[in-house]
Amino acid sequence: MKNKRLAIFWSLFLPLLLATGPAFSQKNEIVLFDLPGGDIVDIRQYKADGDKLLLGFACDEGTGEAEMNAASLLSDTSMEIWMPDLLSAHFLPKLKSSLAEIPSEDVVSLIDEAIASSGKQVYLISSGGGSALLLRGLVQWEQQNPDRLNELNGVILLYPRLNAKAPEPGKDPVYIDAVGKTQTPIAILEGSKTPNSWALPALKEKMQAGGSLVTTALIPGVRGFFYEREKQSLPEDIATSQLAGLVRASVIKLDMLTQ
Amino acid sequence: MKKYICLIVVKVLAVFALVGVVVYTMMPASAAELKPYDGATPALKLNTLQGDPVDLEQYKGKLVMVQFWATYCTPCRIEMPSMNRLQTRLGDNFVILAVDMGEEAAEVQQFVDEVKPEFTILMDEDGSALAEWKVFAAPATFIIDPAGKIQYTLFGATEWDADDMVAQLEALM
Repeated sequence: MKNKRLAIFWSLFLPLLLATGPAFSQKNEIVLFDLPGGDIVDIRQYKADGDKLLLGFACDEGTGEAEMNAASLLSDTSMEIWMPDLLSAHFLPKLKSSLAEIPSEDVVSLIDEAIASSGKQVYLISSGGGSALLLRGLVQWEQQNPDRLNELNGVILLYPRLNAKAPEPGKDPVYIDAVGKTQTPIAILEGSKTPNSWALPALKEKMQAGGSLVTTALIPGVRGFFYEREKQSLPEDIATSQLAGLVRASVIKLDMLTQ
Repeated sequence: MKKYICLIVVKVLAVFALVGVVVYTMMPASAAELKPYDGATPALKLNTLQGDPVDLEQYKGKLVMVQFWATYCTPCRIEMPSMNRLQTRLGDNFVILAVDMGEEAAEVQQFVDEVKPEFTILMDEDGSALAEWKVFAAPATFIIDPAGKIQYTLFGATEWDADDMVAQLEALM
């Protein structure tokens, strides 16, 4: 049954995955940007000619090799990528607790910069615990810009970890305050081999409460943090190599949500 | 001479400190704290890995541990040997029902062959029990008293045969 689902999943996405092309180059440049608090952040930018820009917020592990490879592939196929290094900008260690110390204003200013200086359709992306930083920044940006919501095209969350506290057996999950307070469309990708996959319907329902249109998808056979794992299973290895395609497919799904 | 004695004292203290660290790290982890639970007990009717039907109701009169787990869950794998030992310590009036979270029989069988749990494995292929029991993490454990009421829950792994844990469970029997 699951093998059948796996086959259907990859057969649906394979054309998109192949469209990203097998070769990639690491052409990117670092651009310095002044944050509202006076710190300066390095933004790794993968330039592209297309009309879409992905603004990525790293999780507590920082930006990994798989993400940079995916960024390079996406820029080769017309999608521009910006990856600000907010942990380094604030001299914070790569710890989960560090993300809570990053001001929401940083995310707000980066969203504004991406929209204003690129003139492209902007999408936000993050993974794991970085999703919490992205969402609280997004909430603040939406509150400050109620007339500009259409300038932000969507959010992609890869295996988001948004629980406010450890889940208790027998009780509904409790999420961080930012969940359910956004209106921007959201696409969530979760691994099928994680208990979090069972909470996906509840998370979707909560996220829709603020007005966001939400689409979810399970990646068959992979655990959370699949592309950051040292010991990967075969499905995780395949999904990692196709990360760019998964992101591109999510952008298409977001566009379809709002059409 | 005085310097020599000081050096010996320092060395002896260093040895004691080292022994202390080694002993501390070898000590079994103390039992995680069970959380009291006051909700109702959902029904649980599933098939075992071998295909035999099991109903939680049939274990009325016994202390039951219902645990939700998955093969990909490393803490689940780590704590299972201590669950085997707990079963041995508490005897026939204690039952462990380990519910696999929506995986295929073949991968669960492979795990069972490797880890060798000595208790009942139940299959919840469509996740209906997961939804009913509100389980969103693994391992998620429910301790059900002989009257059929959930007394405690625990999220995460623990050393189930630690003395304080065994005492807490025995108090329910």
